[in-house]
Amino acid sequence: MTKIKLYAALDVGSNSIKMKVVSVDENNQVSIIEELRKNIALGKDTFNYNRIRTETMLKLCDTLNDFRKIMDMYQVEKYRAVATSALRESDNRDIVLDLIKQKTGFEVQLINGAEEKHFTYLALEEKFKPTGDFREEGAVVLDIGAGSVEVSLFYNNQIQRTYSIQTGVLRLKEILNDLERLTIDYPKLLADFIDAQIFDVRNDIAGLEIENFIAIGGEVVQLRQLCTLKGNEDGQINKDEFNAIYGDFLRYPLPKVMRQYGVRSDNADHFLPTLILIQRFIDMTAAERIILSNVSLRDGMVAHDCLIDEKTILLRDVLDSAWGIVNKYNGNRKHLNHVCDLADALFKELKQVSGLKERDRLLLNLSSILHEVGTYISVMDMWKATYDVIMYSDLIGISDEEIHMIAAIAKYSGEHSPSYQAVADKGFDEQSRIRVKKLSAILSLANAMDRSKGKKLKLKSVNLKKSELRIKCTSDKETLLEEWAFQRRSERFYDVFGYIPKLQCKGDEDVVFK
Amino acid sequence: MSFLNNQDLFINRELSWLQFNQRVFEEVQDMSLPIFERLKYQAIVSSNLDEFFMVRVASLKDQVNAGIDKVDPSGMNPQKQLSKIAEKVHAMVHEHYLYYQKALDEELKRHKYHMIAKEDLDADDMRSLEHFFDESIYPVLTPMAVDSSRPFPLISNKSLNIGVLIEDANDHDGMYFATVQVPSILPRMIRIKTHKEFKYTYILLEDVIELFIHRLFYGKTVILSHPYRITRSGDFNLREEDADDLLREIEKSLKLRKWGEVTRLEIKAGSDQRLIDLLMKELHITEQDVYEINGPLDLTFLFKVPQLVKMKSEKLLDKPHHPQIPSDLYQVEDIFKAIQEKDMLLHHPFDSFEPVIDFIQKASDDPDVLAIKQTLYRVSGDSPIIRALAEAAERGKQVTVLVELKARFDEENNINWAKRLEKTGCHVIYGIVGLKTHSKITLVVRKEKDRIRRYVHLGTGNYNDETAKLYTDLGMLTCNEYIGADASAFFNMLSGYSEPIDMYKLILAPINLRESFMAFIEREIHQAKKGQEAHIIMKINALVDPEIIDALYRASVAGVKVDLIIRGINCLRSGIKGVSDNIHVRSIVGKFLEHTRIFYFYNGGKEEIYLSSADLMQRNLDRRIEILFPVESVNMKKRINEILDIYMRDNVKARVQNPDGGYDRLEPHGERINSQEYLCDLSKLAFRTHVEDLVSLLQ
Repeated sequence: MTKIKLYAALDVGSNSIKMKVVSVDENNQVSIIEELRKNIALGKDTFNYNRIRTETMLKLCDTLNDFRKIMDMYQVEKYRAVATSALRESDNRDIVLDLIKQKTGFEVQLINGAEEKHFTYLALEEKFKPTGDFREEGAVVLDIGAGSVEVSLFYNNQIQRTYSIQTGVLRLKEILNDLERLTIDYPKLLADFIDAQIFDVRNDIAGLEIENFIAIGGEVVQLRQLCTLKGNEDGQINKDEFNAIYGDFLRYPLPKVMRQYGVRSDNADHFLPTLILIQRFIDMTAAERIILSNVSLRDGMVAHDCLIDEKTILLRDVLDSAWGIVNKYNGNRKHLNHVCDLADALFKELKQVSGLKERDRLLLNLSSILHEVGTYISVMDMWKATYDVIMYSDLIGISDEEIHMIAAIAKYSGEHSPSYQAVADKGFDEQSRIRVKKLSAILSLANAMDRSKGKKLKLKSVNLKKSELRIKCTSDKETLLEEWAFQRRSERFYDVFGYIPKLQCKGDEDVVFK
Repeated sequence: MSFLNNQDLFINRELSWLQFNQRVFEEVQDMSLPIFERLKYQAIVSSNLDEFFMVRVASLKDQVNAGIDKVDPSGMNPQKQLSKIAEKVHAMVHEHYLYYQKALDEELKRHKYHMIAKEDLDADDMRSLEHFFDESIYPVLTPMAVDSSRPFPLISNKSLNIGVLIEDANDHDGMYFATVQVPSILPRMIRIKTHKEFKYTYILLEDVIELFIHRLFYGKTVILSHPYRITRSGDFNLREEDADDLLREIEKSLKLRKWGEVTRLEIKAGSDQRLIDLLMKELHITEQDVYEINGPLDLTFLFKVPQLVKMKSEKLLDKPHHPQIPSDLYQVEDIFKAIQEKDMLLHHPFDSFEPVIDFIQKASDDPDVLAIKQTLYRVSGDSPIIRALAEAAERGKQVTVLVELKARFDEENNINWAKRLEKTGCHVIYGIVGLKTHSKITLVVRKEKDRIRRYVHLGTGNYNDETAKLYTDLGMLTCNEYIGADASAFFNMLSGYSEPIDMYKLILAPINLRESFMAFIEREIHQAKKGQEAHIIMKINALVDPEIIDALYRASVAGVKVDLIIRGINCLRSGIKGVSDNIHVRSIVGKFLEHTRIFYFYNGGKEEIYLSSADLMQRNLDRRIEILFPVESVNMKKRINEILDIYMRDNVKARVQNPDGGYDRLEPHGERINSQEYLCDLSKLAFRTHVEDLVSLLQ
């Protein structure tokens, strides 16, 4: 008789473990049932000792078991548990995950900054749906975490750039702890440190004249309450009001000003860096007001798992962020788009016989878009540079392991077929190795088909026939270079798939197989 | 502006409590009440005093022993408070017993009940009593003698004893001391054949033992014997002190000791000085701790009088009040549906407590209910609530119960049923270290067709179906989403699953209750300063907290009208010119123990009303887990305003504080309103009207 679904989103964060239990009815109406937060400073362990101490681990397990009881009470059918930077960056993360699994039964998924961002943007979109899409208008989203700060620029309906800066509020506290007692002007020290960290980002953002500024995470919720108390509805504050608060916090002794503003003293260490970060970033934009949003990673998980058709949204966001990287490194969009389409067409035909999945298609798309980003850094050593750039990029919603695969696919697509050993040396397991080899073979072939980067071949059809993969193209231009390159890559393709690729390429009418 | 340092503006809390106990004593003196009701009040006065000596006097004595010399807001150090208490209590006890002998005893005789003195027994009586002594009393007596080889025995708290001096040629004093405990397993009053014109004649057990005391010391000569009784400090761990640091200080100074220190000795007036001196020396007490009693020791036996005589005559007792089922819940099949339709307010004991029990029982039976969570503080012995919770757990529902073991003097009872609950699979939480959980809340989580819905009961009194017939309390049943979410968060916090999160509606001690009260008072002050109407009404059991009192003084100065209806302790002084002229304090002591805590703030016309488990004492605000909850429905607010209005108009049971700090009854003029009676009538009327409506509908 019950027509509601119950879902739990768990976030193993740097400061605390949080859980949100929601019910979703037939009309996709979400009701929050429970919100729990237990303070366990995993970040303190990781940022101090590079590992999670056993006692902290056990505490974490106890808490997860407590949360499990609440989930059982509501008969929750589905959950997602993620862990962010503190656990991700700890040396003993595998042991911790294993212990959690053994002691609590929870499968905790380690997510990176980009995946975190993906969830958060989903939540933001859900939130702003009724009032218009912030993507169209353009926005800077500043997500202040305990470990890192994630910055994203949206404009022209796309995520243009994303950054991950290592100035999370807890990390700052741990780094600057020793210095704090040495200076009477701690806020200045903090501001200087933050300035140094965000120097590069500043250059990118300044001049874009973006008018929406959204801050989330960390003590933003507290700042939001403070604004609501002052009569600002919807958690918005204009720049002048914000600057007044900021000024007070910089000018007066912390305990005094905290009392004055009614800020809980246990949050003091986090509140000040939050203010400084917001102040620095709003100055880079043309925004006149700050939207202090209370969306959380957990809201994003709810949106992702219960509300939104994942494929469309993820695809859009992740492709957006890949194109953002291409723009940054002055890539040839026309050529890349073409290669992407070609590779995609090959993939579709091969899917039935290759054992590749839909997720692999996404990885292929991303590798296709990104496979030349290294040229900007080094023409001589472009494949290695490409690998490095991708490895250090954030792609919305893509895990670290997948990033690694994308980097390898891109790199190997340009080189000779790598040996299994070479791929294994990169640290991939058997399954991933095969996927990397297959996808890089496809990309390599597609890339060959636009060797001159002139978009000369127009794809007509791709068909598997007998032991051949027949690709029909037309062209009104000279395609010798493409055909030559195709020939050179075909053996490698054959080695991986067992099909001989054949390119039919003639004038618009009479296509003959070569 | 602060009045905190003005000692004249604060009344010592102990002395204020004694004033309250005197107000209860005034009920003993109320000739308009049936005699047995007055006896019950006398028993209450006595048992109140026992607890006062076990807890409050004990605490002050501890402070003196620990060398703490801190003065209270009224400027008295512990030593001074103890002497003042002794002075007052000596006078009060004298008055109580004088009244007992001169009025109560006489009145009982008029009703043909006779408590006979030893001296008035005839030979017949002596024979039958001797027989009774030999058969029933003698076997359970254990005389204990004290000499060089046998140390002074441990006399247990609140036990009645007989001290005996026995001749001994070998002792250098020529005598030795022995003591006999009056067995508590035997009835205190023993009925004997009727005398003269009386219907019933009784003699006290200790008198019978005294008559035959020589039988216990065969071959010796009993010089004298007198009954005595001691009161000890209650178990230290279960006592609450008002300040953390104070507690630590005392703890440090106290050695581990099994038995509490003696705080009072009661002994029959006219007892031999040798016996008194000996007891003082052995019990380590001083003259001010010795109370010579002119009558029977320990008047709590008067509780039993009505039961003992099984009287038929209603004239000797009040007509019993029958709590009514509120019309909204009368013959309601589905209580959950009824709550969905609207929030319900229950005013006990005018409204029956049945719906609350029914709510929990239905929740236990209902297959859609996923979980029941409840705080239990003092529960009745065979509680239907406990049974329902156990059944729910057996049916596989998640049942979480927070049991507060620190409920004063009730701990053993609590442990027993808590163990029982655990066996059935309930998750039992035994309180939170350092914080007594005083809040009263029940949460029922139900999975309904299209949603999870939470039903909450919040109250000002305990989940005790017995006391709910005697205490006035307010309770609310609601399925308000916000309160439901807060209730969940509250239990998650109590069970340690989650940190306290920001609540939508509930205000909690020790998190933000104090600051909320302060903010509400400041808001009225602000209104008054703007020249707007400002009004605070608080109906509570105790007002002690200096910070709140200071705020109320400031409110009065600013022009806020402050009406306080305080049953018990009140440390504020009303009607002081320039300080508290706008504060009016009244206290209502009646047949039901006033226990509701209602807080009303005018708030510029947008009236806010809150109910709470908390009184305005430091311990409630800072050292206990308490809940303050808003009443938001228009109808419920209207009803609470009516209730407050009735209490404010009471001119029968209300006493009004005068600027000296004393309490005066009101001169009767106009319609006489006894608030509790009025509310009883009102609830009956409402019920009758409702039933009549139903009947007319059927016709």
